[in-house]
Amino acid sequence: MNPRDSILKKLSSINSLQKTPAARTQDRQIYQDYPEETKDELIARFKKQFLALAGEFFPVSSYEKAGAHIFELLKSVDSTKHLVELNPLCQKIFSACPELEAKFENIENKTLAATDFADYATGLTGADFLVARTGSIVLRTNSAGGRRLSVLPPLHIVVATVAQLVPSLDAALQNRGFREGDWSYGTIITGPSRTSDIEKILVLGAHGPKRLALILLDE
Amino acid sequence: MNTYAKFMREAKSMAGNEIHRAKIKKAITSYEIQVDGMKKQQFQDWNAAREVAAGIKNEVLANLPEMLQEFEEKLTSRGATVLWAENAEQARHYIEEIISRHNARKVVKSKSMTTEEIELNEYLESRGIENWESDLGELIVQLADEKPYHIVTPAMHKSKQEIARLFVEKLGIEYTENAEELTMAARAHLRRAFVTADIGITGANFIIAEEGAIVMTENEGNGRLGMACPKVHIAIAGIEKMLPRLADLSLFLPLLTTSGTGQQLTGYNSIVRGPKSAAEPDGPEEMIVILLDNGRSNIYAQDHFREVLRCIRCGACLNACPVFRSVGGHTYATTYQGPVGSIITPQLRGMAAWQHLAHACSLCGACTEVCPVGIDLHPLLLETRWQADKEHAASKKWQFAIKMWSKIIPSRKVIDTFRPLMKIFLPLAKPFLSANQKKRIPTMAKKSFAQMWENNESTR
Ligand code: SF4
Repeated sequence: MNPRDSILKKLSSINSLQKTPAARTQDRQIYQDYPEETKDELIARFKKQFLALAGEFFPVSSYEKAGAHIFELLKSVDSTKHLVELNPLCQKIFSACPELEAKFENIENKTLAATDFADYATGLTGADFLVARTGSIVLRTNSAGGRRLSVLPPLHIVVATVAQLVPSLDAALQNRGFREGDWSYGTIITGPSRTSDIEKILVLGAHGPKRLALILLDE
Repeated sequence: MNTYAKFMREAKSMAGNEIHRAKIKKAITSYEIQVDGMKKQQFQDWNAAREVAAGIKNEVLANLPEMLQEFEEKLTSRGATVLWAENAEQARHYIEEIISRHNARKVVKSKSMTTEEIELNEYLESRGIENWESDLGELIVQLADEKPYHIVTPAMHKSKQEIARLFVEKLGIEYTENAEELTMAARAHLRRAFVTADIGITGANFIIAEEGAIVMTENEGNGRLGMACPKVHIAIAGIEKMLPRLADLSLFLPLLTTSGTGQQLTGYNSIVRGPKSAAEPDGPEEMIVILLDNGRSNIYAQDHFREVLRCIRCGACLNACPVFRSVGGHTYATTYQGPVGSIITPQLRGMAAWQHLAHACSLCGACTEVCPVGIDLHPLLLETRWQADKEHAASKKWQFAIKMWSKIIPSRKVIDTFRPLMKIFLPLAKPFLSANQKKRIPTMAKKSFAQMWENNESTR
């Protein structure tokens, strides 16, 4: 018998098992309760969590202002090479600030080997959801230009709109759109890369991005 | 030396090692402060969270064969391959086959206890494959030529001075005790490995039936890099890592992280549903998931022990355990240490060689109290002892002692005949004992309790 069948046969041969009904998370009050959650409260909660994780937070009200912040961020790094996944939101920001567009190379027009990323200081991507309770950014390969752009460059800039803000991780994962689409990889990002493997001392920038910046657009 | 004698020797020397004790105390104290704070911050009712989590895991156990097949079907429909390994040897064989098919020379690994379980590092080394541990803690123990000390915090036992000396010797850096500089040295050292490796090997913290996905939890980004750069991704997952639905992660991710490190969520929680799809610019061309049994189905077959398969490997029971704190992780000489390791190791690797671990326990119940999936750990340790006795798996000496004891204790008469003998024998034996043993010998009371009871005497 092949290993697959033999394992399955062993597992299926137990008669004493009771088929228990599905346990439901919603039946019990588990999490801290935040009854309010208007738009402004969600933004405030997200901001608090995100800043506590050492994220860099820029709320803006126009594409021009978003562009200006991205411009400032680029100045703060020591390389002049930057990559972008040109999603519709980035496109709008770029058309509002044409001088910004020239700074970025569009990842879609390039075939980059993993080794080629070494020169790039910045990856600019979109996101799918922002989770207020945990200060997390949820992205999938189709919103983030693949797997590498959001993890190899030392600075990861995310652009998102307030409409993408959800109260909890549950709301993001249960969202009907989340499981759809032809994506192979998604990740829930909670702060820049970190480690405390040496005497429990927190250090930012272990292997992934050292800095994580979010431009949050509220039109 | 057998496993038991080795354990006793190590335990004795570690328990008296004050430097070790100080390091572990420091690490666990800071862990405990964070965990207590996070439980309150994040959960209104931690016990309700545990009960629901246990319920979901019971649902998994009740439907495990079906869920495994659903997982396989969904994942393969997106172009990944699922392989089933009954034991470590089969798993290593699959990996060898993949390596030789791709003519691979370089592997980058992220932290995974299942790869420790199948002793993959030793295996790759013996085949001359360049193999990089990429989690900082794992890198430290790899460079020191040691095994992980703890399932969650592999280098918990190393001070920054020790790590500094190690990095000077192995990575050729300038001596520094600054944790940030040491981390940056590891980052620079491994970056090249990530972008040039042929194969990335990871574990999986969860696998999802309805989605056909694996989930990986980490802080550093090394797991993400290992799944983003090499052209092949191999993930090794124990068959018990199952969760029914993607949405269950909204409970299990915070639960695991709160118990494991006291964070709200770890830095990155990745959901992988297959190799790179046609529309995607990058990602591995091939993804293989190896489902590892390696004795788990034996645990599954036993009604008493099945619940231990709910374990999500958070490490909380290790941190809570007074025996772990004093003898340290390496003394166990197993992949999984502490209370949970002492239950599953005898099941996975044989009762006779490992049942002694279940005796290294005072049954204080601290582990059971902290377990986020409500496993009755200390009763299961007791159960393990009972099973070992039933199977005559203990040493001949122990079996003899227990046999004598069970003859003497039930009979008042026999005890009463032994009492006067002991009174004579004990003082005679004293000169031959070490100071430590002497301390442990109680002074015999003039009269036994039974005698006093009969005469209706007060104990005063
Ligand atoms: S037995 Fe419970 S406390 Fe111990 S590692 Fe597993 S889940 Fe954590």
